[in-house]
Amino acid sequence: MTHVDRISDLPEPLLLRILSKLPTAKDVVATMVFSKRWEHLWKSVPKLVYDDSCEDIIDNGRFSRFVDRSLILHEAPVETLHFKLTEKSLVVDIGIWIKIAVKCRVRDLSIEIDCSSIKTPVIIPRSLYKTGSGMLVSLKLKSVTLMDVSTSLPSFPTLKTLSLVSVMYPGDEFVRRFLSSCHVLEDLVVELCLHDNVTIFTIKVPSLKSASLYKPSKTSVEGEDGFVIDAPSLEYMDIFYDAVGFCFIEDMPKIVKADVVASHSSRGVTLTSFTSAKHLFLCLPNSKDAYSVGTVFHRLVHLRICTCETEWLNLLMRLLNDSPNLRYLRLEKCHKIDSTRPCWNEPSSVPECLSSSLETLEWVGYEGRKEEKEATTFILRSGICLKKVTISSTSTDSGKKLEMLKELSFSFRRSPTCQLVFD
Amino acid sequence: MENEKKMITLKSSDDVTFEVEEAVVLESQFLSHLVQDCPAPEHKIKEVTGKILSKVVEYCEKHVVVVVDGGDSSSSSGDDLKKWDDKFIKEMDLSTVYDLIAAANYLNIQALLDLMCQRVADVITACKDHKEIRETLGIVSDYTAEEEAEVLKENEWAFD
Repeated sequence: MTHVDRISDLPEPLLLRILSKLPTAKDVVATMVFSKRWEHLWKSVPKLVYDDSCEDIIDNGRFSRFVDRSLILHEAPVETLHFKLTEKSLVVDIGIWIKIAVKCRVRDLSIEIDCSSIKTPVIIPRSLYKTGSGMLVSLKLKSVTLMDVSTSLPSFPTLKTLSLVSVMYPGDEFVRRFLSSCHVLEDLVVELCLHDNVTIFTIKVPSLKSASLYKPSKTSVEGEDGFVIDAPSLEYMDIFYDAVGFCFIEDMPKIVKADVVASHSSRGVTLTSFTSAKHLFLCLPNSKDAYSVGTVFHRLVHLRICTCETEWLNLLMRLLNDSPNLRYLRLEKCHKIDSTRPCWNEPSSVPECLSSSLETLEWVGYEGRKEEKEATTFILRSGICLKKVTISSTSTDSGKKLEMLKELSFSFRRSPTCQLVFD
Repeated sequence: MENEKKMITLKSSDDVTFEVEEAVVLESQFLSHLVQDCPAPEHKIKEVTGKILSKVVEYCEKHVVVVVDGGDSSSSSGDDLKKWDDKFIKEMDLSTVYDLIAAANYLNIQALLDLMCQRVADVITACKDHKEIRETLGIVSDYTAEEEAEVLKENEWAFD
């Protein structure tokens, strides 16, 4: 019986699809030795990932030679070109490889440098800005230094996804110009780093739909640095602000879901621009300054609050009052910060959402402390529409657990159909 | 009307029938066009056997987009789906994988096609050299020993 080579019988586009899923270009190129059918297939694979982390450190030239030769011999357009580099000597080559990327009219380019192994900055040559004139749709840069342009502005008319992680910039003006040249940009990831040479990071991108922003704590305490965000089409926002400084956000009428985590209260993030959100996750050190008085979160149905900061309870009570359509509430401690416990103050009136919409309360990491118990029993005795309250405790002490369980089960429930579940 | 789900019958090349909800069929670009253009209650798919079609149906039923109203299931269900996918491909022999690649390509179910291609790529990655890959994937080499040595020598840069 003759053996049927079923995989080699698959049509070429399907074989190329399989080859595109191999982790590195090295794996792709090595398939040429399988059989004559496979000998030239690798040259048509539209995705090449060059990763030098598994290479022998003694011979840097070998990796460069591999990248050079495979790029030269490759025949079809390279749509996706990724570099994950660790070795210092490769810094020289990256300039040439980017020029090749420009020639190939790459659509998805990623350059990630492992900064732990490289001490000198990896400077990305200006030729990068020419990739934009082609068909670049996605650009990801990590731990590189961008060069300034004196004459022509960088222009990325087709760029939809941009990720800038630990990038060094020529300055504020460059960042502003660079981002505003991306007329169709939809997804943006920015992780700032120390010494990034930017004071005010301006994001003025009308087309932006999703943004994930991270600002680390800096050594400067003046707080003159920060984000200015003017992106009226934003639907998803994830902001982690671990710094003194400001974050000025223009109104976002289309925002659907936002995660806001800040660890400093001074002129940090305020929620006033988030009033259109349906889903919010919050971890904020302040409640009074969290948003201005009179703000109403009409569309908010789904709220998660992190309980690691002292102010969480006040923030919760404010938001319950100002979110008339809230249906789902989850409380959990997400960060390892130990703050003083908040005090429970009995509210003078019952928030609207408790008498009209709140259906679910989930409490993760319930410890049975006084303020936790007070908040839970308050919600249980005021929530008319409550359907399910789930309390999960991290305590391993079964006696303590039983005690917490008893306390809550015997408390009055306003909603006759409310189910109380202990995890 | 909401609970009144429209059912569609799919018939494989070897006449095995599957009754599925219309939403399940819509996971396949090919079938959704077919169902729209020809509103018959039963559709014969001559290119796919019952054994493979049952796998396709199993996959599509799991992946039907469930819109959860205001709930929080979006992220967790993503993780669950990934776990389910992992289990789905782990239990499968390569011969079935090849059949599913062809079927997913024909029926135009991109996510299933990607999943199956990834499985083959993972098998290739797990092998230590090309001889083991050939053996595992069932690739018949038509190189003579000399030709193979020549390819390796000419492309030394790719293998060192």
